[in-house]
Amino acid sequence: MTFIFTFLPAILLVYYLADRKYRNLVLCIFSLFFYAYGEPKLVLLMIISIIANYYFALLITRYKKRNKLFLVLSLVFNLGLLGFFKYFNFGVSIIAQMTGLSFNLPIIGLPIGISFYTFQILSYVIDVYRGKVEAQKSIIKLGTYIAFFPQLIAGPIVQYKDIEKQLDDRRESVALFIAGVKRFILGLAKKIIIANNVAYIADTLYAQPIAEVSTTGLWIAAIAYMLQIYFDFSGYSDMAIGLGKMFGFNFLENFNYPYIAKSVSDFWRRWHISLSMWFRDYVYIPLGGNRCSKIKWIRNFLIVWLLTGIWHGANWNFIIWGVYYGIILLCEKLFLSKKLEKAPAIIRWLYTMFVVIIGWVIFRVEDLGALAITLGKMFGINGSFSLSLIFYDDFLLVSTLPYIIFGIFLMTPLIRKIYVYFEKKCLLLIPLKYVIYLGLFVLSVAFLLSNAYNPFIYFRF
Amino acid sequence: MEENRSKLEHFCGRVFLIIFLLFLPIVWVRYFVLGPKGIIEKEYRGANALPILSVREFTKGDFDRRFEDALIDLMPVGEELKDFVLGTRNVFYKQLSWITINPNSGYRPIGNQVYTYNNHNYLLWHKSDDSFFNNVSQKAIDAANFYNQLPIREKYIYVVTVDRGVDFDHPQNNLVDKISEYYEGFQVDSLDVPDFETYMRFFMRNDHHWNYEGAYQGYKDVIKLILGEKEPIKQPEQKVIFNYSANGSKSRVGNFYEFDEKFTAYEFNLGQYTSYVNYEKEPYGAQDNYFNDPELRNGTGALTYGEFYGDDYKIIEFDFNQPAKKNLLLVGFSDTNAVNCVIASHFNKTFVTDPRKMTKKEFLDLIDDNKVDVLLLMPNTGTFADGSLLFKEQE
Repeated sequence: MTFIFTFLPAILLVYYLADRKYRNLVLCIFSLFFYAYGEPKLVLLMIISIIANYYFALLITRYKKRNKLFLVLSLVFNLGLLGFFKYFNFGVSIIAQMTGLSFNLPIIGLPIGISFYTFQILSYVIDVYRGKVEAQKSIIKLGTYIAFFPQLIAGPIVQYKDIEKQLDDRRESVALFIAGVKRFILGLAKKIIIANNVAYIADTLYAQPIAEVSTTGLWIAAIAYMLQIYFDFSGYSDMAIGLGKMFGFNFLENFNYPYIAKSVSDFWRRWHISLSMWFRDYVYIPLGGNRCSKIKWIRNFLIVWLLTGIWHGANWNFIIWGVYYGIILLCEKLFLSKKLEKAPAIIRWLYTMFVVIIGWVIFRVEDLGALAITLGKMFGINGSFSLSLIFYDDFLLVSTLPYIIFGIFLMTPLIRKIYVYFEKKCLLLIPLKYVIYLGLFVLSVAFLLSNAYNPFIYFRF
Repeated sequence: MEENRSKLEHFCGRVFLIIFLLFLPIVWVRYFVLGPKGIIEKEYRGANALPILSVREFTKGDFDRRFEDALIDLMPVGEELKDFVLGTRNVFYKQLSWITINPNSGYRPIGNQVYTYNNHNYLLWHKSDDSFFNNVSQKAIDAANFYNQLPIREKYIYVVTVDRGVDFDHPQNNLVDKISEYYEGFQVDSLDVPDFETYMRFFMRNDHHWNYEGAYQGYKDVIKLILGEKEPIKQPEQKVIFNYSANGSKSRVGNFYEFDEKFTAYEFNLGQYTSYVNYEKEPYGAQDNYFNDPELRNGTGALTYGEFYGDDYKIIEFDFNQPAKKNLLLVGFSDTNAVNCVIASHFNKTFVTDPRKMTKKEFLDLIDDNKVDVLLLMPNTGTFADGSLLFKEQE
């Protein structure tokens, strides 16, 4: 509510009243304020990061003979901060487990969005080093890039080279603004109406003692979580892309109907695209990519997926998740894809969904013991197919099942295809489309007002 | 055709944009033109006020939550929108309610963790998980240890048995035994709720508090516990059924406003006394106003338990000027608000404290500064088990 009815109108007013040469300044200041609103103390960390990397990039450009040194310093600085805030507690717990010692250390809080903005900074500094982009001479423009509020919290991870020209020279337009508003409303509805409600099922079922949840319940929880994470994350990406358009920016797409993929490789070309591209450009290719021996290629591949898992969270289940996908993707690339191509589309889709759902269970259940039991129960070990927990004990679970059904329907491009088909034949669909967008906006606000369940799972990053 | 499509898209897009942009500042337009809302009528509460924007407030940590809550209350047609969402959900729940029926239980969920029982028109919460009572929290044990050590001669504990403390499918009450394990030297009693019919008699239809009958029973039990069978019980002068709707917490949580009842209360003649609220001499609660002011007595609309009986405060003092009688220290929560004055009429001075609002030091100073003869703890089943009886260490 605060964002939609206070921050957004304020920034739009100031931005469009400001002279063009001050618009990046407006975005930078408002973005820092936006971050400070959620993290009043840790905004200093962001400001320090901006200043430090501004100078690192300039030094890389100026001292070409020592540019590698400055690059390394920048990497150590940025990854050091990320490592400290995100992985310190995990590291301490590993040492404690291995040595049996106990440490009375404070728990380090995770600054919101640090994983996202660190990767953005790294893309900038590395591309400066590679000569792909010029070092930004304006600290304001750099600050705008790093702290830009639409994608600061949950991406997409915007590589500097994709936005460099837009920082200097972008043209806002009414058509682009309208497209941005539509996209924003779509993202808001995905998050508030679908994600929050399916989240309730997933969170309620996963919060129960594992012994009390049936096999059926665990599969429903897994499907609910699969939908939650998609509508939550893609909803935020849609909002980010929409907000970017309102200010004249065009960000790359981050999701492309991942749940219609017919192979795991295809899934990862559709899911969190910006992260995959980042790892490809800044880890996989520098390691040699697939232009090396087979052994090295496999090594490179697994390193990328291990890091992908680690990026998602400081816990063993995330590492297992990353390695899980690394192995499956390797299998597809080595031999599985050829066999899958011969199978009917429905089989390929079911295989993909099965792998993805199991992956989400690994992602969701952080305790390894509980994870093992959960997966065992999902395959019938000590499980039952009772519906009792779902139907009898909390009516709200039953009433949110329609959101699951609705979500399954919406995760496909069917509605878009139907609309595109009929739009050519019926002009009435054009005004109707806008009425629906306004209706979705009002409905999303109504859901927000009724204090519907409103968790945001990607804040941990 | 293409040209028409393009023109229509152009026109509709701009109309859409104008409407969207007009919608964005709507909360602030309403705020500056009409001023802040005072009351959120449907929810029978005051509107959340906008917090002051200052560095101190900002760094406290809950500025964003308070600002958000205030914006939600400022939203034009916000109550109607909430009504629409929750009302539609409730209609939907009713259509699907047959799926939830567990033939072995009388509980019928209607949404938002609220239930009815055996199709009675009463809202209740489900009994808390067994572990809640079998594994009493460390805070509850700490609370017991704290009270056990107090240098007060007579100590009593009376637990208000609420819906979360009883499984009406298998009602059993071993609460007194359980409490006696922790509170040494205390005499213990509880409100007896052996079945759902008794629950309906003693509790409000749509709120978590006891009603006038339950409060009166609690008063009688407490006096009998502390002063014995021979102490005369105050009889109510009359029972007043107001025209106000008693709309309580369980209705508000899910828009279940059809579970309505008339607010009813017993009127007592307690004689002369002086009351102090947080050390200021003033009446406690609004009961007298509602009984004696014709306009209030005959008013309509909604009335909550707290509005009628009084709010929760750090300390309330009742002085009945009966030096021959004992001084009572009563520790409790909102349940005591309906009975604190009538209980106090049997004592000289009565101090009523709420552990959520008073520090441990303030409580101990209160005992040191006043001649306290009797300690009475009055939690309900939830506040007993979760350790709410323990005073906070500091402000």
